[in-house]
Amino acid sequence: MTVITTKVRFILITAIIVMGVALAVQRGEAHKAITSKYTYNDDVFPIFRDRCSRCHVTGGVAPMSLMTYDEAFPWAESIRAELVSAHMPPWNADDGFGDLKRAHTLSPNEIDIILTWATGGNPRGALDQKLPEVALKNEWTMGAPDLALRMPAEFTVAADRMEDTQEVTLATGTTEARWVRAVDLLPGTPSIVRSAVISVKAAQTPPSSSPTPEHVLVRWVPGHDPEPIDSGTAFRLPAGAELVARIHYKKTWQFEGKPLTDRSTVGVYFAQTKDARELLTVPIVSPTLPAGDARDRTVTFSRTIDEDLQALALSPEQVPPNITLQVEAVRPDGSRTPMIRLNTRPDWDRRYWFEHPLTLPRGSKVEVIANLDDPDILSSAFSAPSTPRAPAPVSIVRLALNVVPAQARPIAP
Amino acid sequence: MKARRTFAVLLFIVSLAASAVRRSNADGVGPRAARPVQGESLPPISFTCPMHPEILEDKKGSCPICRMDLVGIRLDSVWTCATRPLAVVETKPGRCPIDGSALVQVTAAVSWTCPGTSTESVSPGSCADGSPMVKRFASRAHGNHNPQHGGLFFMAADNWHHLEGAYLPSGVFRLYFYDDFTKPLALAELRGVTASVVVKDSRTAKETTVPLVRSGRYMQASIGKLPLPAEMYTHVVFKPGAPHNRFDFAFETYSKEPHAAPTPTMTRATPAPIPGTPPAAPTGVPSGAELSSGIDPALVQLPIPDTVPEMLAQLRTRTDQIRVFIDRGSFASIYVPAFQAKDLALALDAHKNELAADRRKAVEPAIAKLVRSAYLLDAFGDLGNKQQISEVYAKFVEAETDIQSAFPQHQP
Repeated sequence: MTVITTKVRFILITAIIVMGVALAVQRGEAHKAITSKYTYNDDVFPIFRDRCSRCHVTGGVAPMSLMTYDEAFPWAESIRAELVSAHMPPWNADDGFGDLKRAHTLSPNEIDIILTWATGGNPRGALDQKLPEVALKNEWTMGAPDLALRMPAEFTVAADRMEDTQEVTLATGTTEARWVRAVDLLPGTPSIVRSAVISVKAAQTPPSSSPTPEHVLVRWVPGHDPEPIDSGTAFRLPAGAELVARIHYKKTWQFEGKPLTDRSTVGVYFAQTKDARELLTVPIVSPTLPAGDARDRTVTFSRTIDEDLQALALSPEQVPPNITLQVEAVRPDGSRTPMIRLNTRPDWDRRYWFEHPLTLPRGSKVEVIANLDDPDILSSAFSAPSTPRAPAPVSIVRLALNVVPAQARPIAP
Repeated sequence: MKARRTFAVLLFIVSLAASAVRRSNADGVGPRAARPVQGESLPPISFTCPMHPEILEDKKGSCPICRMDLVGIRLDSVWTCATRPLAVVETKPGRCPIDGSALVQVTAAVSWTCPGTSTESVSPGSCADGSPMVKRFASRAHGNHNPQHGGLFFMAADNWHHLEGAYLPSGVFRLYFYDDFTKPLALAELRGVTASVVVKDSRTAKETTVPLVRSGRYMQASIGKLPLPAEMYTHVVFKPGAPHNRFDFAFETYSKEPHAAPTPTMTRATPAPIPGTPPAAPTGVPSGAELSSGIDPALVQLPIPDTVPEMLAQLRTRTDQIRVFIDRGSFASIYVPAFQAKDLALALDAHKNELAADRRKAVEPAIAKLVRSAYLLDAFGDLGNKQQISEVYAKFVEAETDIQSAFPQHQP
């Protein structure tokens, strides 16, 4: 049994390696099983369509579509690398730690199907099988917004630039204060709108020991659904407020050397109820992180909570790339509740909502353990094997914990 | 950025050929199922370039590199003597009739010829005189990953260089270099290689770096006689400016050069296997070679058990077997228990609905992590960097521990 299996593996894998070598592919699948029982048509395509088509589709923001066999299989090796390192789908929180809403992850079986296919010869399935065409869906996932604020003018990413950022101020024109349950972005040119931070324009908040109003309405990344806040909590939008949209653009290689324009729209969804509790924020800031190449660098810092709070969400505001942040709530009685464990990738920063609000009695601590040397398996394995990794350019970690006071009552905005 | 596009095109070619090969192999046979024993069926035909063997297509055409017409080729996996590749060709494991050592598995191109002519065919047939054509085997790139000098064999991350470390009873560590055909590296290339060996003192854990000096076709250094098993690793740069490679070696015994053998014949030579002879443990061939003996229980695939406690117990065993392979330096074998553990974890995934909600929520990420780690172990196993492998194994164990503790009926 073993012998025969091994034999089949050898025959097939050799074919792969032979080619991989001369073509200088970074890492061919070497001497291994090549007999995927899963085909693109029957097994892989449905997963790609359901899980990846928001970006990996013609006109999408990803560098390649995966929606046809011919588009997908040249990337099999990259798909493997992204999947084993958990870089794709982009969800940087460890699912086993804390209890977060809407983990955009693949099931173990889906991972296994794709990896088996990607490492096992990328079989297509029946040649005459017609797969449905998948088109880019660029639409409001929550339906038409209550207030659609289109950018006043087109923004051009010049031919000689691959990335750019614009910051645009949008007047809401509201005449009274309103509660907002969600904010979304509809890209004008989806293929280049890489991320956006949309905030209420407000004066700089002075440092305060108590929670302050949360002005960041959404940290938008492609393919992510807006998370409407319910349970009577909302963002407060003052009368006549202005929104600031900071949009990051990134061209994929297909558009290199070409100017591209974008005119995106910000969508605001008002709360259904008249009264709500305002979502506040508590910054959790590290001391300056040690530089240098000392290994096993772990930095622990915490923020003590001065009043009874409920924690609803947490977002990385300023983080160095490729470190691990483990956040736990430590109550006055010493009990610990895991909140989140993040592997930081700043271009995929988003707000992580807890499945259930976490009660933080006065005197609780939110404790963060930053591991600055957590090996990024992908970069250590697939780009520069055996070479020491350059230390990350780290300086400071800043997280925003979104809370509401436990005593807060819903009020009019 | 142009390079990206070229890369994509190249990947395309690779995958095309790869999928072609798989398709032609499918023949209605389940992929993981055993293929009919060779003999009745011929290996599938692929098309390759006479000048560029790395080109492999599923249909006729011209070479994308030199435009020559592609020619048909059949690839087969066969057993042969480690020191005399293809001098003897068997369809199953056994012992080498030349030197008595265990046969090793290689991938070879199969063709049929008529003696005394240049006729060569990818299918059997008859010659002009009516006699049947003679089956012939030729070596292929990456067809042979077996040590040639009784040492430990690795492929480099560039997928082209290969090397073998041998630790001689005289206390000399020797490094042999090969190309993708497992042919000794040309001297001109060898001159550009710089390498050193780092020896670990098993008592003090102190590491000593000893540069390797070229001597003919190999590089070596005298490192003295260390207690066995002896652990050491090498730093190798294949040419100036090229990336640095690390290879970890763990020698359970001293490496013994296989027997000198009579002149090999490269044509059909298929002596009957020695009947009734149990496969002897390969002497002087350290643990990397169990694949060919097929007796290590860690390398035997077992059916997935029916009950959760049995699955968990097997998962535990497989996890430990990986550890043993890592400790022994048998990195190339890790994928067997790793993939079996992965299949066990996926089988457990189907039972997660029997768990309480909170445990169910905890077990799925753990299973996903184990699946990912198994594929990483598979990829890293070929490259022989112990630190990389150990880092992934640590994640694998974390996942395994989480899975074990999520299923309450079987607390370890």
